[in-house]
Amino acid sequence: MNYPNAQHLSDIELIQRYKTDGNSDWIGVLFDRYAILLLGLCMKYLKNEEDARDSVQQIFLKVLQEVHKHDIIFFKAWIHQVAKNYCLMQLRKTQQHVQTELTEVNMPGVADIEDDQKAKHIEKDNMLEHMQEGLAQLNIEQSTCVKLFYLDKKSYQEIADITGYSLLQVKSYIQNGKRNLKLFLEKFSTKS
Amino acid sequence: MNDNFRDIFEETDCLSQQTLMDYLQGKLSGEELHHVEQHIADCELCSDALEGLQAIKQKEKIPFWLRDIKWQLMKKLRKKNHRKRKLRLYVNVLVITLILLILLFMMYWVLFEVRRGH
Ligand SMILES: [Zn+2]
Repeated sequence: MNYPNAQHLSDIELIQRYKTDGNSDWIGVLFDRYAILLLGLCMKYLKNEEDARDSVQQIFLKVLQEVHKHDIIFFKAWIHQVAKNYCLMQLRKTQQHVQTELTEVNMPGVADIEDDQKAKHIEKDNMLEHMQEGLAQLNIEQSTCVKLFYLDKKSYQEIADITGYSLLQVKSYIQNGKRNLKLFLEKFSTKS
Repeated sequence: MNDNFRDIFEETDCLSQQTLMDYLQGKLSGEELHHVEQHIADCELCSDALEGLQAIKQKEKIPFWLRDIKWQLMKKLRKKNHRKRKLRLYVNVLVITLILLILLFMMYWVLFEVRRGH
């Protein structure tokens, strides 16, 4: 069966359609969207290719089972959480001790999400005026990586080559630098 | 300079399987590459996923694995659906039989009462 418009349906709509008519093709579309992300996620936590592959199917079944127990607004955040919890359970079962990483991860709270929405409406030009100041607030690693990435449009690999940091370090400097920069700039938008 | 930083407020869609595969296999460059890495800086899911995918040794096999997993999952769901339909059919048959039985009983009773009235 072919649904030309299935690609445009939201994740939640796909699940709702599946629940109504039982046609597994809807879940197929959802699978194509998330399977590779879940495979990568499971691989990151389980560190075993075969376990990761098995987990992808299990996580999908779990999602279908639990989707009606929750009021889901942000499907992506939710499936991310379901997958993480599943991996954590697997790890507990095999009694490996890789748990420290997982405990610090929390569901994005309602407050965070509201803040995100608010941020979108903020006058951006206003904030960008304070970019220099913002960059000065970052530590040297973060500001170096952020500048190379946004100003010079270098790739992660190129930045790693230039700075001598590892790829993972570069990624986290950019992620954290960007977050700090946003937070700093948003202070100005609420004032004016 | 500020225009370049406009990107930090941009939110993009999650990466598709094709894009992720291209990125993993080093097939992206220039704008496309920047676009992907910009998303990674934003999105914890894609960022975590890429970290895991990078640890897979034979990356070219990933699409085949996924096709396999999908096929198995679809099979399982179809089976489930089949079972559900069967169950629904049984329940329907049961309800209809019950209604018919009650109707028959009532007709019989009415007839019986009418006869006794005479
Ligand atoms: Zn993403």
